[in-house]
Amino acid sequence: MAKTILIVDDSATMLMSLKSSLILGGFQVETASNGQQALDKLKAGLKPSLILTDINMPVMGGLELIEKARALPGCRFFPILTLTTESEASKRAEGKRLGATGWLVKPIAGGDLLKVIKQLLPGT
Amino acid sequence: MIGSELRLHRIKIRIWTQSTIGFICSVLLGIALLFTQGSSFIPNNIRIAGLIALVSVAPFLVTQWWNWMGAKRGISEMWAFGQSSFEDLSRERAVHKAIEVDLKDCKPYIDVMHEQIGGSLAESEREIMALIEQLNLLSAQSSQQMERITNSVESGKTLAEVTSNRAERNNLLIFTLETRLQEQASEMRENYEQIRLLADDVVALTPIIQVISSIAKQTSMLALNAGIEAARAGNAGRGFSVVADVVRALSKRSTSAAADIAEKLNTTANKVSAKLLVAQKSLEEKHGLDELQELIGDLTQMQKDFADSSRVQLDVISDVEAGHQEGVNHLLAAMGHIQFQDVMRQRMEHVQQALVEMRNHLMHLTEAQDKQGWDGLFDTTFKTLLESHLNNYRMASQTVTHLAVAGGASKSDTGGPAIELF
Repeated sequence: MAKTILIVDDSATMLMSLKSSLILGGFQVETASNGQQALDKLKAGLKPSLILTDINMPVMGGLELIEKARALPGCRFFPILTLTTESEASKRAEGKRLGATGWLVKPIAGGDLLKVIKQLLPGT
Repeated sequence: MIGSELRLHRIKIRIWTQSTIGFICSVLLGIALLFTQGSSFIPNNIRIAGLIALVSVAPFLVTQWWNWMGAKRGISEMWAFGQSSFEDLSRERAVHKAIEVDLKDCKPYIDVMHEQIGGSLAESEREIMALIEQLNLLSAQSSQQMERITNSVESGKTLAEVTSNRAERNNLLIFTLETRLQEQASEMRENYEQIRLLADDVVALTPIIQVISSIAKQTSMLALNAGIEAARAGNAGRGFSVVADVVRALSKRSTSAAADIAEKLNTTANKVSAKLLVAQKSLEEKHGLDELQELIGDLTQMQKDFADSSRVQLDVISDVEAGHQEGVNHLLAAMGHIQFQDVMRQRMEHVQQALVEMRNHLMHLTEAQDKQGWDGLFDTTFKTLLESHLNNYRMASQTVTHLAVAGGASKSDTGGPAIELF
């Protein structure tokens, strides 16, 4: 059964292009436009194998999402990757402290993204 | 001091100086007279008093006249200065007003530019999403084709395998059939030969039968003659007559036997001829075997061609599979490049915010200069606003552009790899 990845980004084009890339890689995809929507989906029972999130979003940003997602039961250990234009070292360190598994800077080639994800999800 | 203020100041100083000198001269003269003449000089000597008064007043009048001329000149200058200052002031006021009005007009200008950027972003987003949609359709179509091809490959492989196994078995059967056919043909030839020989033997017997018949006839004639002679011989020929009878009976039996044999031989000859005809026909139909062999050869070749074309087809399908995978890789790369739209969007949104900031600051300037008693100082300036942006950039490329244009050094650390796993 294909593994599910939750993509969180306020840009519609990013959601579409990432979804296409991940489907090509053989994954199922769920999307959310901001951190709050993503959190609501997790609380509603969605169990993704990995979360891929932007940082700067309205309503709830990526760092806050990471912090709150890690506090949910059953969400402590699955990988959470950030995919952002943010290149500030302090933000990167903050993300690591809050529980991010990795930090990816936009734009990233679809092939590289799939390589990283498959490295974190063995058997895919 | 600026030029006009300095001029005014000089005029003031001149008037005060002249007035003061005149006054001091008058006072000094009066005091000098009082000291020299005493207080009684005025009533005792009107002419002298008058003269003294004249002498003391004259300088005063002169100085006052001088002052007056100076003042008049000063006033003229001041009037001229005032006029020009008023004109300058009016012009300055007009300029300020014009600038104020124009500054206020910058709001719609900036708002329009803000919306132009917003419109461009929205349009590019729409087009990019349409492009992604087309790429998705292309990908789905390609995947469907690949699925069909994969299914065909599986069926083809199975068919090729089955055909290959069957072909092997068929080859064995064909070989066996061919061998049997060859043996059969050989047997038929042998058969024919034997039958032909038999027919020849039967035909060869016919003259013998005729000989036997002839002998039997002759024997019968002889027996008849012997009987006749025996009858002629009387009693002496009685024994001979018995022998003649026996010989006659024997010849009858021989004739009958010869007839039987001839009949049987005829029948056998007919049967053998018939069999010979059949054998001959079968031998002739051996040509059908050749056609069958040719057919078998064609079938064998067809099987081989099918196996070869299956292999070629499998090779082609492998190439198509490889081509599909390459297409997928290119599609993934394209999706990565499309992310530039989001990067561009964020940079343009930052510029939009900066335009709003500029508009608000210019509005603040126009309001401030209208305020009474404004000291000309600002809480924020374009310089401080620009510096604040340097600390708020998200992308390293924004910082690079800023420093390239405005100079200076970045205080933030925007290094780090593009992909980092913690």
